[in-house]
Amino acid sequence: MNSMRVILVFIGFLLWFSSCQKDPKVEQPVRFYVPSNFPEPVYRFHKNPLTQEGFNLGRKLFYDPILSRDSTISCGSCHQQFVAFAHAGHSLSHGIEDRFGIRNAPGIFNAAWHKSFMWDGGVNHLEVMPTAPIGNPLEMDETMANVVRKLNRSEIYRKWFKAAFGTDLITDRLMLLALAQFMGAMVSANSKYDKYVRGEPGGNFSEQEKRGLELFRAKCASCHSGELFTDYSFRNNGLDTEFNKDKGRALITALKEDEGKFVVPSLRNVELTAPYMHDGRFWTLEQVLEHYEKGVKISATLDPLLVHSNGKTGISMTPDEKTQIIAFLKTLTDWEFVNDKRFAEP
Amino acid sequence: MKNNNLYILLLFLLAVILHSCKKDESPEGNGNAEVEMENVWSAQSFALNTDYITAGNQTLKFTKLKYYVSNFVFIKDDGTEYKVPESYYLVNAADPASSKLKFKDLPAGDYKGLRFIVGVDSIRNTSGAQEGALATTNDMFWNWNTGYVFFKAEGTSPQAPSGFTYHIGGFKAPHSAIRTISFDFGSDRLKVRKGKEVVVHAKADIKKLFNNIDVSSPSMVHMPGPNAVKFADNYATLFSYDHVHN
Repeated sequence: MNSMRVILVFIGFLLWFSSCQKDPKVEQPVRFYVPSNFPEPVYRFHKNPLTQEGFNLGRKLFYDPILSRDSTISCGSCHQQFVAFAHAGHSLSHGIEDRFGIRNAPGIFNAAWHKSFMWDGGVNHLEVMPTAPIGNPLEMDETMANVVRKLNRSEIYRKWFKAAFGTDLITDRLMLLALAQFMGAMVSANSKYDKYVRGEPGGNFSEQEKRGLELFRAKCASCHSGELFTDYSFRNNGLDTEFNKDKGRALITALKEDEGKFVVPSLRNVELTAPYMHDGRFWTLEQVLEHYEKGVKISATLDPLLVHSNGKTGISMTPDEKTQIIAFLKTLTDWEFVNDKRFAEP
Repeated sequence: MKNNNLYILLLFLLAVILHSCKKDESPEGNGNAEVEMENVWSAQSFALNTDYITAGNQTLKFTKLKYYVSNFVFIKDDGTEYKVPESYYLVNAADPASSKLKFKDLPAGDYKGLRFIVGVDSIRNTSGAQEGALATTNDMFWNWNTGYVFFKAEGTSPQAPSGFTYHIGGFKAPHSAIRTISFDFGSDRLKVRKGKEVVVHAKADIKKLFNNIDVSSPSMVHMPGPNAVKFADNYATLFSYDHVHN
């Protein structure tokens, strides 16, 4: 009994000591972890062991415009940390030479849990994700072969690759592995909501937030489900009646039944990632809820969950309920994540 | 006494003969093999930037022709199979050396056939960053709908005013473009032996890729789907075994 107490005191001391070490101004070493309220991740770094050197290299690459054809934009240009790696003030992705894409640049966090990437789910694996914006003529407009050539010409990159992977012969694969280490390690799980569900300090919900969470669970959580706040499915949420401008998921599957469907996004950090929807058409959360309340349009592929038995569409919400839901959504902001120096431009 | 010695000598010789016979049946060690994929256009040889006429009487001139062959399995006389690990090859008409597929360390033996797929198996299409023939720098990877282009044919034709661009691939049902090819060497045997390199000569008749294809419509296929499947069904027929060099 006594020895038990000694051990507990010792563990307590260790915890206290280790928390002491966590000076927020000092960059912590990188690690990947599965938060206790999260499900199992999809990407587990099995064939790409996370190392400090690999992560550092991925971070350099993420913020280096060398990945774009004319060396003007980096991943970080359209994925900014202060807005959870979304693109502040931009409806559509903004490429080189002021070209504009057709979709909104989403936030980047908890990438290791994604089953697919992009609004249409066209990218099937975290490691090959960067090939899409690099190769997109409206974004970085560069070939992988040329990126690899440019990197091999750089003495400092050869040194960094050597440190990360033991070779200074830079290949597309090693570059992609480094970027996967950087993005895969971006775990965002310290919002007020997380602290609330984990019973940690800083997790006290107001009555309004509690009510908002209840309403959210009743009205939104069949799609924005679980602790990632998405089921990663593809759905048509009634934004449009025809999809010639952007067929969405059907561009990938070539199936008519997938027209107008886009991935259900995570709602973590949603307060920061405006504008919303695949084309960034809504600028505020109020507009988003307004859409779900009375803007849902009927089309062949409209999600059945948005259609009532009487044929009416949308999700009924009173003004008070909308305020409460938005109060809850704001508890999903992870300020520790957006201020974590490890993910900042080096 | 003399006779006894002679018997022993004969028995010894017999043993040596039997032993060498046996050795012939299952040779030891590993040898090297090459599969040469010779691109042809019917009875002509195939080259880029040359006019060819399809069965449908359309004139094509190719600027690019590249395809993946992978997952090679060599089949022995007794039916046992040897799966070649990591066997991914990109044949590129612009690079003659790429049509000579090298197989190192095949188990020695007599082989009566082989099998491979055109394209890349679904596992490698969904396992993240790859290297070698499967590197994304080879211009055979769809970055917006991730997966490999299995067969790429590009060029010009009077019937296709802005040229033809056929990027064929797709590993998911119902639009899988993966096709399995089997070669039966007939009475020929590929005799893989230690310290030797033997050759399988195969032909890829590009003309057959365009069976029942009208290059004026569609002139472009650049994603998995029903159109890609039509081409895949064609490339399933264009490979043939020709002969072996032992």
